[in-house]
Amino acid sequence: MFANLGFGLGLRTVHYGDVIDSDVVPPVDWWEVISENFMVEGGNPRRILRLVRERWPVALHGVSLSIGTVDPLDEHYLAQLAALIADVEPAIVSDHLCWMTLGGHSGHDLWPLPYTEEALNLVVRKVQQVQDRLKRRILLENPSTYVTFSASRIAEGEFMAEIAKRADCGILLDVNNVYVSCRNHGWDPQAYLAAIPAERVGQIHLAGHTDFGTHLLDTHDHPVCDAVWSLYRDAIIKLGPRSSMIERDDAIPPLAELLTELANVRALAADALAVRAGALP
Amino acid sequence: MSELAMIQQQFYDFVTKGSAADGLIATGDLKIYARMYASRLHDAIAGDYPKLQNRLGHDEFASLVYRFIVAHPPQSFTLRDAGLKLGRYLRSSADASVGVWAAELAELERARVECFDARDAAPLQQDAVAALGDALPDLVLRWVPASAMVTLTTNVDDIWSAIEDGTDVPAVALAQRVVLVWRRATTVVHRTLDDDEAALAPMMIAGATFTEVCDVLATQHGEQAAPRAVELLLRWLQAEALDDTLVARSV
Repeated sequence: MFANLGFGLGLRTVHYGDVIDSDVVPPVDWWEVISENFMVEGGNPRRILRLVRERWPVALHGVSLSIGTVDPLDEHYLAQLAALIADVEPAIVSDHLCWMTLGGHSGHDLWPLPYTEEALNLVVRKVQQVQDRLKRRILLENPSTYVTFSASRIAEGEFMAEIAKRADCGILLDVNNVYVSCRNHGWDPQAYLAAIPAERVGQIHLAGHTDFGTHLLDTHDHPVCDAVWSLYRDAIIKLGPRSSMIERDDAIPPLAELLTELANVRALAADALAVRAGALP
Repeated sequence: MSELAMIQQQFYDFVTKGSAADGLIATGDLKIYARMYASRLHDAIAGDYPKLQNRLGHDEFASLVYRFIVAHPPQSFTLRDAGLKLGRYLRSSADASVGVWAAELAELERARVECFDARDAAPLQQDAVAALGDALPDLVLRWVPASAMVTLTTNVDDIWSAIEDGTDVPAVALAQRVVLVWRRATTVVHRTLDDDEAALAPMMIAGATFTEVCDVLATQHGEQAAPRAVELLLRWLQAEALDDTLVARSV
């Protein structure tokens, strides 16, 4: 259902020079960009995106679709996203299972949904509308969350699986988010992974988080931790080869450091695939 | 109102206004979202208005941003627009305590943000103008689309430059000025215009012929209007501030 792009990184402004102007082409199979950062008319952002797209596959990862809001879909936003897709011809288009707008106002955050039948029906209907509008399948990413709602009746993994099945969309499995949410709410990460239908997973995110003692926060400002590496290995054993990438949005290290971390992803995925093939215990 | 709508309204009101949310959550801490809402908007707006933050200081700027987002909750899907109305807000009587200079500094910084990713256009080149020959009077001069004019009554352009250069920041003083902000390739620049340029600048938003430019300059410079027009034209060409799209129409 989804092409395996290999191993990628999130494109960030501090690395533009290393990616575009360097004589050495970074050993990255593809780049993910934040869609909204490039929904502008011109200037350096669009120039960089054009240059990157000439050399690599690109995934557009949005943060503002607000698929779970009770507000109507933002047609202005969808029009800009459609135009960007037409220009970039991305390999993947994704956003988050969340909401961020209400009454025409935006919270600019990935707010959690109550996992209820009503929310499920709303998200399914809106994903279908978005896919019809964009004329392509999108992927929804599982969020990191810091609360659960009293009204919730469905486990998050099952909620994701049901949306993917009924709306015929893909899942962007953020392994760090699985870990963060499971730690924050006392969920079982293995049960979470077991609920995710393998054929629907089109991409995997890896990232770091911050432990505040009372909770984990999805800060993307640390290297991937051992527990998330382990969960990633389990995910690849279950899913098989998947487009995988590292997100880093704060305390961003030199590109060389992220490339070393990406090499770990490659090695771990190879190990997991060997286990999956029965070559390793 | 559906259950989902009520939940989202309760969540939104807690996060953005601190309203009660009794019984809403089963586990976790809603205050995490409230803190992230405030900090994300503060950081985005601070990123767009670094000189204003420098002058106001961290606490005063943070207080301003808080008052601003209460008055103008974000409506755009992009954080780029979170601080779009800050200059207008500062000019409004609702927040006049900070001063006109702050509004003008915000407007100058906002113009730079807008020019950063505005529409691309090739700049008019000197050789293209030279090739016009006798058609030069009909040449339409227009600023590149990635440009903006900022009218000032204070010296915030000097204040901006001093902060940027790390030199002593002058005290706020009254000064009637017009600043042209534009993007040169991928770099945003600005320059305080000479008085005669400032008179011409508004005409060149829509486009003015070289003849029309000379006519305006004649009211200030008399017989010296033509050499001054050529001097300004060269200055604008070298600065890559003129749009080349109208050359073809002139030729």
